[in-house]
Amino acid sequence: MTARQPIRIQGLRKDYNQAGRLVPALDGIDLDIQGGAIFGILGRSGAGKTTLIRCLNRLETPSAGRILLGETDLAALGPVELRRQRRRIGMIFQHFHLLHSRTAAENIAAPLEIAGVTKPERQKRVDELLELVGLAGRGKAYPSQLSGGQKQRVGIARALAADPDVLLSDEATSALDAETTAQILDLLRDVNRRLGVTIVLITHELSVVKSICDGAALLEGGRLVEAGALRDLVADPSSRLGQWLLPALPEVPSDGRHLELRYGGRGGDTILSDLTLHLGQSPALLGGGVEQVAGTSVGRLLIRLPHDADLDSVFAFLGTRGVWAVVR
Amino acid sequence: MNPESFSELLDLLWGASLETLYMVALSGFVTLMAGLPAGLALYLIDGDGPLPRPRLHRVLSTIVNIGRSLPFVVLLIAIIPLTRLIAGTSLGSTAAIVPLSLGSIPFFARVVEAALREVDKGRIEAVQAMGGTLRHLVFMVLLPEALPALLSGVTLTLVMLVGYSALAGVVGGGGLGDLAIRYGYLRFNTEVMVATVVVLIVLVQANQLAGDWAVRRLAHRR
Repeated sequence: MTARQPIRIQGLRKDYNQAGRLVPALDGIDLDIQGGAIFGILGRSGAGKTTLIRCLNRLETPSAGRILLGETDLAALGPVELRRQRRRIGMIFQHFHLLHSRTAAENIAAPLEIAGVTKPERQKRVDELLELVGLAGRGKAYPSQLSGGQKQRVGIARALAADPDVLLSDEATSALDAETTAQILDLLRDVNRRLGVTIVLITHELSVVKSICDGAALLEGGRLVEAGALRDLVADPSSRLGQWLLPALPEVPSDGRHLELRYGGRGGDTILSDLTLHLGQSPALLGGGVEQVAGTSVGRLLIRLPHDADLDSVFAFLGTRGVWAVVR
Repeated sequence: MNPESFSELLDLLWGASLETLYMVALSGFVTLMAGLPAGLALYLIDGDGPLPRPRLHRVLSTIVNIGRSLPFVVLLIAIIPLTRLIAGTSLGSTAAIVPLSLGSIPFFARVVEAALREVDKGRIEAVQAMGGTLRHLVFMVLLPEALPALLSGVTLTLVMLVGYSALAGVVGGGGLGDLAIRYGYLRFNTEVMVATVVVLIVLVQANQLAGDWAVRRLAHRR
């Protein structure tokens, strides 16, 4: 397996023919996804995220543009080569799409049968995969005998069976309850760490991005609004995704004494006590919070400075600590 | 020549039942062999299907519709030349298999098409996304996933064939329907009529129960 394959999307367009009129579903998407990353694509329904992920394994044929998986342009492949390349891309679905006529083990074996793997080898691989997704011993169960979370585990095992470089997730947790969602997301992260498989997921749930993604993109009306690594997004005050990922702040009167602070990583953990020492008196903490985003803690705080605090000196001090601040 | 005794009646019924079973079994087999691929083709080449060939689909669909629109008794007579060509004769149980098959193939093809349409599109896409070929689509997804519906369709078709075969008497095909018409209707022989009706009911019931049992067994497993 050649894991950690990057995906580069260049000028991707998809137009649908609606009553003789071409309606763009994707309107020129350029996006780089780092190999081995978990990348989330956020958007409302109708934003084009489903079309985008379906273009990545050519369940939809792009109208224009390139989709480079490693060195291969998926958008340009003929049918035979496409089928071969599709084996490098696993996919999991919101409604699982397991074959009901097959047991869990037989479902997981399906991609291996297609790839022409011999029966003894298939059996060995299926056992490993059942173990990997925490379903050891449940191989003989039919999908109708499994819970939603278990079905998605089978879906994940099936998607990983042929050792893909990329795993596509089409709202894979949207049909699951909160606890099961957390378990499935844990499994996806575990799989990503262990196998190095690049994961592209689409979701309308911010919490999914927050809990497992390294990078994210926001899609609106078929266009990419923004994209980047999560840690860069939260550090960028102009980023909408960054705003959403950070804790919300209460409204305050703008009297020039309220400061919004933002920080990521270690520098900010002790910022309140450090600022108290610097000022000689303590600022009031009015709201905010600290979140885990992409594995690091990021904070967003709203404080009120004492009357006699010198703003310039406060900003200079915060700057030395790598804390971003703005008067609210 | 009315049946004089009970054993004579039994002989008549037995012979007619065998003729009916012979016609239904053979035409059922031919229908399955031809209707399944036809229905599969109808599904695959549909405009929304996995192998869209809209023009060819329209042609095939029209042929099927023509076959479906003829009342069976009309078809039976209209294709006598064809029957003679295929069976060597236009008379008898074996000859009746030609119109019986031709009458039920279009019906079964539609049943197959409808059953395949019920297969969740997502499961088909899942196998396409694995890099599956058309062969995989058909044998890994379409046929296995639609199997319960296909079995119901086979039961439906066989029951219909029992009904069609009652008209086979028109071309000297014999069978239970022919017996009922000749003795029960033309000779006012109530005993034969009632006995024939009973045997037909038993035949259809047995067929239906066996079909339902098979479908339930499959569904149970899934």
